[in-house]
Amino acid sequence: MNPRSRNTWKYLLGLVIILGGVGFVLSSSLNTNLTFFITPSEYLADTAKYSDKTVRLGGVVQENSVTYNKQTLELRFVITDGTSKFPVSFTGTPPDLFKPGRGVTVEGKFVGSTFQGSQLLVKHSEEYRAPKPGEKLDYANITDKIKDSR
Amino acid sequence: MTNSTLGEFSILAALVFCVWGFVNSALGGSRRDSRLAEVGRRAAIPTFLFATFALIVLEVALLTNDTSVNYVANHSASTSPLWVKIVSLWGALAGSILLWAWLLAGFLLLVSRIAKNDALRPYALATMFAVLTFFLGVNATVGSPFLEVPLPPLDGNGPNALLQNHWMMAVHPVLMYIGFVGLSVPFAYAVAAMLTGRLGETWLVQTRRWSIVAWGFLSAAIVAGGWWSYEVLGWGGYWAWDPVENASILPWFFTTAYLHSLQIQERRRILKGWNLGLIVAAFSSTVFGTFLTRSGIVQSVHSFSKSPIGPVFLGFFAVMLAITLYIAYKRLSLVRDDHSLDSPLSREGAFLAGNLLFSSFAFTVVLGTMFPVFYEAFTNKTTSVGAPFFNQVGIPIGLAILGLMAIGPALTWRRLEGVALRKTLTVPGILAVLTGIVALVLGIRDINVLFTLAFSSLAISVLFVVTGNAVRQRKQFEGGSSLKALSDLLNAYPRRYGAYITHFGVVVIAIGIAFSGAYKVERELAFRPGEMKTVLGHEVHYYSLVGEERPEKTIQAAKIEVDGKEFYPAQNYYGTQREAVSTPAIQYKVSGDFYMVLVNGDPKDQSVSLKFISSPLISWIWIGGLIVVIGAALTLIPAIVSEPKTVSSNVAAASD
Repeated sequence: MNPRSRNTWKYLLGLVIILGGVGFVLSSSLNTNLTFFITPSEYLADTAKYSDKTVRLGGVVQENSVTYNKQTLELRFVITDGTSKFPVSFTGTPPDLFKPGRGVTVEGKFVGSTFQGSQLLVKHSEEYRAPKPGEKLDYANITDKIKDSR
Repeated sequence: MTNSTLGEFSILAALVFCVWGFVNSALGGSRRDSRLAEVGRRAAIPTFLFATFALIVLEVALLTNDTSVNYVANHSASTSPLWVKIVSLWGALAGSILLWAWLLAGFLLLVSRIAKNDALRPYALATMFAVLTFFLGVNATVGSPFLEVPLPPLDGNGPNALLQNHWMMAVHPVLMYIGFVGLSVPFAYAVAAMLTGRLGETWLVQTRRWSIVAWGFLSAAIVAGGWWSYEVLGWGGYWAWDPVENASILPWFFTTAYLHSLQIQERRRILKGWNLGLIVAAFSSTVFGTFLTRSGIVQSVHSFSKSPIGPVFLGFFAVMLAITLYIAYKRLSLVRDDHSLDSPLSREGAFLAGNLLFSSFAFTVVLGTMFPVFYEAFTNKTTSVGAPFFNQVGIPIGLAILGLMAIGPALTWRRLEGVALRKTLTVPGILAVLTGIVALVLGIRDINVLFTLAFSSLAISVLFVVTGNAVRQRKQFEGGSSLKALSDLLNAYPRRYGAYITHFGVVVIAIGIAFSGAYKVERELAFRPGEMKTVLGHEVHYYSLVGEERPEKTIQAAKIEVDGKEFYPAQNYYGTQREAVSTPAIQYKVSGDFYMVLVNGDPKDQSVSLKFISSPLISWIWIGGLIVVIGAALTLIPAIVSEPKTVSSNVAAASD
């Protein structure tokens, strides 16, 4: 082998090592770090897929379900999409826009049947208005809107 | 004449001269007609003047609160303080594109005045005119800040709350745009080099300073943006891998790679194609980033709103890339290098590996940002790729880059005898291992922090050893004291020692990132008035809520005492916006910051919930950023002392 082709070979080896390493880290971490946005019903439909993963659970804060301890900062509420619902527990101060009847996205994991939230996202939406008494909430519409708060 | 008409007229006039400049420059270049080229060159003057006039008109409209101009009606308010009104010019999309266009017109004028009169210049100017035509075109059509409002409101909607909450917003976007625009100069010369077939290193050398200036501004802008985020967003971090942040780091990656690999071409006349590719990638990523963040295709805290400007930028990006690739394809035979690389264990080998790492990092960032978009398109499932992904991939790449940067200055061009390399690296290598061991003994268990410390120590000691060797050599040949030898070296090689200083700044930043990332601690606690608690080793005493009404905002702050000093973490409510913008209070210390956020305050019973974040060494990032920029500025100083005639292999080793 002449020196030039030996060098080419070394360069190719370096290229393979660097790109291979980056490619490996890329594909493996993309697999584990892809966060799905799901509704309670979607979770029920495919529990096995999401049970051990960090997900973003989106839905509506159910009326009369919110309890908040100001001293311990423990927040509990029920998230619903109209058909299915799950209790959510979260530690921290809820944002100003967090209200019953409004859309909310919680990032976290399911622990048993309770969703342990680590982050609470409330979409800042100009169109929000309080529902009139007796009025049915349009769950599909609300979920669709908060989906974008990725 | 109203401001609207005046503004629209100036933009149109600038656009006309810009197209005129393009046509004449392009014809002047292709027909080798110096008279036409001169006409084209001179068109830069009226283009810049009218662009300036447009800018002034918008600024006047903002300052006089002329709500018949749509930009003022939508993005300004009479109650804002003066500085906010001034910077509102780039507080929203249309205005920031006007600023971009104006800066580009300024750079174009500067290039047309000071660039060497050669075969490349008409083509380079034509390229810049073409880019400017796009920006002015956007300002004249879909992105016009000057549309007339038929029924002017009494007052405007006011600027974005986040923007007026911190003075840094007056600085950061301007730095960023200067960086973006600065890249258009090497890009234009790259295109000119391809069009003329003069693919030697002339264009690289001519635009080296422009590239470094652009890079310096980009670096400053990114660090300033991080600091703004830290001061305003109230989460104690500085980088969230938000799409807009990602868009800003892409050109930085490509430019950094380019600044290193252009030296290979200067020295060894190889990698022509690679350099062309990098600078094209750097410049086009500024346009791509604008598309990404302004089209609503990815969600971001920074995105103003969905607007037709996004698709227009995508179109421009596609056209620009297609044309550049077509020209490159036509010149394929010329792009080929005359000879190939020598040993991989050489300066150029390290630069090449660094280039690959920077490009991989850029690819990672694009992938992470765009993946949810593609995933949703194919599976109809909404997903997100968050910070954990970017950190998992970015930290190893970043560490590899740091390691390469550490040994880079010890390597010579072409090849290095194993003995010489061992001689240079022995002491630094031992020091690096020692640093790692000491850190381990002191209780640092985080593998990333350990590697960062070891590589940092390696980098700094290599810089010392290499500089020491050079001083010794110089003394041998020229005589005199070590100090004189050192100052002679600094004068003779500002480019080399500027780069060393920049590398040192990078080390400082790396340490800041590593420690604040690994050892950040967060506590959120509720306080009643008068309550005292120990939080993360600090005595925190909460007194009460205090408030202040200003014309443009209402401030609600918690009066607290931390370690005997008063702090006021606050929430600001701006006129028309309902959500509060928190203003954290920060106790800055070199050893680590204590960051206090008012999360919620109840005016009725005066109870508050406060968040505290302790981030060790985080301010090293801002200090390091300053050092990086100073180093970059030093590389621009022309060498004062002529190089010594005798250049031994070891001096060459340390040269830039």
